[in-house]
Amino acid sequence: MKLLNDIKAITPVVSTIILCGVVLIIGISVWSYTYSITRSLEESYYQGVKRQIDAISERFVVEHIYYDNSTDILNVYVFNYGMVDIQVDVYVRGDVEGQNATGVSVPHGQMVRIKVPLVANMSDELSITVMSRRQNAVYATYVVTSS
Amino acid sequence: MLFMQLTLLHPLKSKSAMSTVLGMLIFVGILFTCVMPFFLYINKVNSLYDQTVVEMKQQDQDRALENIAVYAYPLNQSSSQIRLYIKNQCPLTVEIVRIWINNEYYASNLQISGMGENTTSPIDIQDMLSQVEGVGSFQVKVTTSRGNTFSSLTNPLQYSNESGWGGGPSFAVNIVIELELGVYYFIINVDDSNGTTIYHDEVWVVLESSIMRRVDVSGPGTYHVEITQTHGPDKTWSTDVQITLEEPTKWVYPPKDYW
Repeated sequence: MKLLNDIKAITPVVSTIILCGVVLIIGISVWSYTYSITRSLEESYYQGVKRQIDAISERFVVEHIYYDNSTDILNVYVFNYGMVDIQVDVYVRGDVEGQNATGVSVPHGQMVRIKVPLVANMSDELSITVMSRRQNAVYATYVVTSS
Repeated sequence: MLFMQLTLLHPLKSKSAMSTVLGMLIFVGILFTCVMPFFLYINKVNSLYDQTVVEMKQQDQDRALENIAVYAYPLNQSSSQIRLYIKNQCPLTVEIVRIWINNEYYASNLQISGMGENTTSPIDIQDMLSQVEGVGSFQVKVTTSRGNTFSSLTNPLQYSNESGWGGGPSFAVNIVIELELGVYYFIINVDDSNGTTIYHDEVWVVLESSIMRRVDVSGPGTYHVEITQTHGPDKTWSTDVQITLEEPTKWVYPPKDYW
């Protein structure tokens, strides 16, 4: 009671409590903001590195090519022997041109046949580019023979 | 005692000192709960990237090391089945995932240990043979799990409805011994027309239905092939093979029931 009647005695206590409260509120806000920022940075950094890891983990080859002249389809067999699933587009240049840019999925460890519609003649020389959506490319050449 | 009282209670007597301590505690808290874990996490992610780079380099190196010799052969002169004899010429285990015959493929999981050899199960190609008009040509190749493709050294296999299997572009004698399952020990000799031995091989055959050996020869001429089976009573089978420019590759098939 003696303390409450003495205004000069209670003021420092109140002001100290207010000051500490302000410091705590600002501090906790700063901590919370920093925490969320660093979490966000961690996530975006991980996603960036993960994209690079996936890109360097891609391994695929053109395993086999043949032209079916009864259907006018160039069959390109792509084997994904890497560690990640891929999506690929196939571009054909040379004596005739064609493409299949539908982003065909090739799961890792699997081979997939990709059909490219084009009209080719015997002995046509074709240059085939298989490009993944992560911008890795594999090339092959093919001379059209009778199927 | 007086010193301790001064040290502990002095900050409590100052408003600004109290908030400074709190601010400092919060700053240290931010340092330990946000900033340091952030750098540790980045370090860990970078390590993951480096580890992947090393793994992929190793995989590329293994792929470049892979080296196998593939010999596709029909089981006999008129067989509709083909087998592949594969010699692994590298120290790594090689897994064959697909066998291609022309534009058809057959899944496989054959494993060949380092520097070892193995033979695939017979592959029936009756469907393809039935479509042959005149002489049909067959290109055989295999794909490994590391993404390499190896063509058969006996390519192209040629088949005609009249004379069965034959063909091949290089000067060679392909010896195919078809067997009942059992244990055999074969000594295979090939001599040229001067009597000089150009090929000698001794091979144990355990529970295999056939073996194949390819003997490269220097050119046209007559070659004497002699096959001796010494496990149990000795049995020798021999034949003379004429290699010509028109038919540089000859297939030799001892009778299956001879052994």
